[in-house]
Amino acid sequence: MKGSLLLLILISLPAMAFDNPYTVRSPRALLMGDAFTAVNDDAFTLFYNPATLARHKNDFTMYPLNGTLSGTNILADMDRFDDFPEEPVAASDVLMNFPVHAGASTAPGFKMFNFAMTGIISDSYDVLLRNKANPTMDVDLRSDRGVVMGFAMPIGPGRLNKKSTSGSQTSLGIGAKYIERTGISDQIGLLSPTVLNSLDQDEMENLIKSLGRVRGQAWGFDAGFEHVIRRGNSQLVLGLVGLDLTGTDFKVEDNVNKLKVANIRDQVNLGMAFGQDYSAFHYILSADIRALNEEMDFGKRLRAGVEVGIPGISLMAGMNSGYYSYGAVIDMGFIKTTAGFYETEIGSRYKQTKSSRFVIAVTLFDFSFDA
Amino acid sequence: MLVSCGNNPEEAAAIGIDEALTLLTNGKCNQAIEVLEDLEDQDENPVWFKTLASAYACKASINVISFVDNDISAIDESQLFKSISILSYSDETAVDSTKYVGLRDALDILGRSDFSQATRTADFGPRHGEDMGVQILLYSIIELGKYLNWYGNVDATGKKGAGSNTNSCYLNYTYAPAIAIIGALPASNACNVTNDGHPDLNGAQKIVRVCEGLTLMTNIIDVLENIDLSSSSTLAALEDIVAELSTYRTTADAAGVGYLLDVTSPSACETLLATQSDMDNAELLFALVLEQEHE
Repeated sequence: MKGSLLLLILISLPAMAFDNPYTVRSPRALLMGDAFTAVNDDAFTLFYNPATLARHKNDFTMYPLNGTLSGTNILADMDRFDDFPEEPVAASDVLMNFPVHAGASTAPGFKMFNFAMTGIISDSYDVLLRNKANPTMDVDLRSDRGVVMGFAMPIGPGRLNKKSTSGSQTSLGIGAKYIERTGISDQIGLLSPTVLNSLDQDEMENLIKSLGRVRGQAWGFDAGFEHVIRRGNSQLVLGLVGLDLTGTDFKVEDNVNKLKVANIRDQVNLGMAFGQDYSAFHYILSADIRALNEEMDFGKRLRAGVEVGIPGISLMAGMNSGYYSYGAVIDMGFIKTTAGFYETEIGSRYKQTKSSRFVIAVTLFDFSFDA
Repeated sequence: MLVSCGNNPEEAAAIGIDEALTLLTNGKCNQAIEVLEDLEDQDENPVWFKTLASAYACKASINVISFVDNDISAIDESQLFKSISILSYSDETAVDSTKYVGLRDALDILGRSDFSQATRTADFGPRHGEDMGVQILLYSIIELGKYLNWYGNVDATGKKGAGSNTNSCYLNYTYAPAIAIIGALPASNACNVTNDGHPDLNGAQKIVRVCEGLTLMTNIIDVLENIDLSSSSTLAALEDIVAELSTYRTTADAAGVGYLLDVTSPSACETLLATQSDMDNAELLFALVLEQEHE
């Protein structure tokens, strides 16, 4: 019965439209194919599974300064831009079915024992032009400001601490977030008066304003489960999480054009990670099956990632819904830099519309201590 | 929580429209139509109307970007019908061709029941209502080009009555005021007899096809009179058409047939023209506008 239910979940069709409009993503996760539910040990824990807080290795960890930039990787499609026309309408022909993305975010925060709090400051701009018979722009502009908090608690007899070399631990975690999202999520004609008026603006700020934007507020809630098994230098983690339970829906004031910002859909994710950590070398293998609660092409659910490293540098690679990612982290103690390229599916079907992106992130002055 | 719950209607619509837009981008028009027509209860979703209409326009092989880029500047308000009849999509070699019918279906979807820009704006707000209006405007101009090209029997320069067909006029005229207009046309106008209309426009489908031509014009007028495009560097040129069309309205009003220029719905037009007196007035309007203004 349980097997049949799981099979039904895994083969159900079709997918949701658009990538889920997350607030913040871990750059390391993006470069591991976003297979991060059971890895999740960086500053972005609360965005993947609050239950991971139960294996926080220190009494206190501070992530005071971090910044992430992401954008369209035009290097992946340079031929498209040969002899790029200056006239806007002709240029739009070149940009047909080419996802344009730009994002910037920071998520300062701390972990104290099994509790964590993280600020959310994130701006994201996504535009996709499709359909020559009536050029239509998918517009998702988001500026998020908010905070997320979470707490985890070990349950059952097993306990692990940072000195534990053997044992297991099961934990439950919960998270709550409050977000103000300003922006717009819409499908609008390229030749509509709204867009044409925007294209005639000289300043980027005015262009975005004239596309229309509204402000919404929302509370969201997460709950997760995690089981960790440790044997010597090896660790196996299983994670199951419900993010944005019942959906994080932004309340927007009524407006004549019925403008709205993108709501965050609820998502149930299952993850597994196995790793070994020797003093001079470590590796992690991870896999996720995402969105168990949604109807979706099976291939679109799959995430897989790998990280291998020596002290000071780690290399990552992954596969996200059939698309590749790769990059590196250079850790110099007080400064850590993450950079790489990743691809992600933004359509509702498996391998429908690929968005190729780069990501670069810098964190400064992360520190931990034990009381 | 683990059970895949299925999609609610709003999610299903978003998925269907997203999938259809990708199919349309790849030129798979019929598949897109199938996906969109499977969606239920979309009467209040402007994006669904626009996307479904564009799927039918896709069947007509319309590339709106190409049209805006290449054709709008070719519209000459001093020779409005002549220039529209030879735009890049205007060429027609058969009555009710697949492309013509595809675009007509697109317009029927966008027009909904009453074909009124005011209603579209009221129902969907200015943002999406005007977006639909611009789509109707561009499709109507393209379709009018096909209409003028075929029924006007134009040559490569847009000259009426000089094409590969035999007719020199649009209609056969039986209504005395219309006959008087035809009789007064200058020698430069090919239409100088009253019984040399296009056979496809004067047969059993006369009312339907007269209404098609009439409502293509009235929808262009309706949109241009209700949406301000003057601030757009891309479409402002279309505003020039308004001035020209307003002279036609003045002429029609003076002849007592201006009320026909307010009929935007093809079905309402067909009901109206089933009455002989209104059909006579439509003849007069064709003589005053299409015959007189298209040489």
